[in-house]
Amino acid sequence: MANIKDLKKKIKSTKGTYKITSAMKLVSAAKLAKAQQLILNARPYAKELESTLRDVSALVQEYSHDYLKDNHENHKSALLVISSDKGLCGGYNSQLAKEVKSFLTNNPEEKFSVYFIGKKVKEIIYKDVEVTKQYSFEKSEPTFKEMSEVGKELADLFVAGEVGKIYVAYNHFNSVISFDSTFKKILPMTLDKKAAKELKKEFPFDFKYEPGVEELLDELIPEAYIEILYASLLDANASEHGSRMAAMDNAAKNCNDIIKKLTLKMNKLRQAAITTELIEVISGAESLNA
Amino acid sequence: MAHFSVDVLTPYKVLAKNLPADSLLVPTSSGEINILRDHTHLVTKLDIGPLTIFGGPDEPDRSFVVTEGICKVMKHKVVILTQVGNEASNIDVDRAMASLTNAQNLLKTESLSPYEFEEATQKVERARLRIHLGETYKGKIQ
Repeated sequence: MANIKDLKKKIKSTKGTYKITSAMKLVSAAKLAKAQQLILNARPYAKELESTLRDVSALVQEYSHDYLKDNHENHKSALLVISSDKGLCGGYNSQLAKEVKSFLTNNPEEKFSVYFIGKKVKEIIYKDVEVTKQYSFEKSEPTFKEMSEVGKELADLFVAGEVGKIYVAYNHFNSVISFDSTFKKILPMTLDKKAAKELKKEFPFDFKYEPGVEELLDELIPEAYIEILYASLLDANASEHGSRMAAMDNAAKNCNDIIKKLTLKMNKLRQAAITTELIEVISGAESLNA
Repeated sequence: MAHFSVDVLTPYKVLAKNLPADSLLVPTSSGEINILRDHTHLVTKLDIGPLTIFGGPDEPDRSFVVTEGICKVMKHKVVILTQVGNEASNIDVDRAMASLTNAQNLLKTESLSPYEFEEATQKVERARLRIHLGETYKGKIQ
């Protein structure tokens, strides 16, 4: 059974943990506010750009771009997993790792080479998947330029025919306490057959392009591809900070509960010791009087 | 009565969402175009310039500065996707003037690469446009 000294030590160390988790919660809250604003502002633009490009790819005639070529015979695919470099963010990495594993298992016909941004998911699943490359950046969160370089490197593989599809896996930010592990096919930028059919009902004629379809789309398609990739990164960042903030909030609450329980236990022990001493003193005094 | 809705989006900010419009003037790479109801489906490249959305008798007119991007015209909706954009009423003319001076000073340096020169030229153009629109807007509300 623990004595008062041990309990005091435990309370002190738990108070230390409480201070750390509370500070981490505050830091995450500040980072989350920034990340949330970035993704909420960027998402409508990226979404619209992506839908425009996918619509155009289904409707356009007599135009082809390397990023629009559907190669059904190529069964090699690249998967870019965006996770975090740091832990202590609840189920953020473990949930994504689980989803990545089941995604790879559910698509046995495709041979995946897996690329990672952030090392945490890689550390969880490196035994089960073939790790092709781990990207590292100057700061933990890559900039738009660094992300463009990653995107360009993957796109080059696609254009060279080394892979037939490129997917990105990340946690999609829903709210501060909620995110969804998402898999998105970013190349080729085409619609599936069903969606293309529905689109053709809505737009029986192709768009008119000014100045010309080539001049417009040659520039727009690579830009949209990078923008979609960057939006995925912003989503992942906001989810990470949200998840860390929630995890640290829970940890701080748990610390508080433990401190209360330990303090109560310590007070009971101290009271018991005082009572024993009193009984001893009183009994001693009575025996002297007798 | 407004006949269609307009979205003006940038990667950093949603400038307008479902803005009711009667017609709009869009600066494109092949000149300014006027878009009215039932315009043909169109995807066109934007150019630096003022974008004006006319709300008709019921809605106020709105002016924006837009740069490179695209304009997508559908039956009941027009979407403007621009890299950089400002609403005329939010333009800080003093800041735009400072930005113009900076860009002009940058252009005077001799060691600029062609890319940097192009970027600085665009900055000058954008700053001039912001000053022009900002002052016009101020003039209108005074």
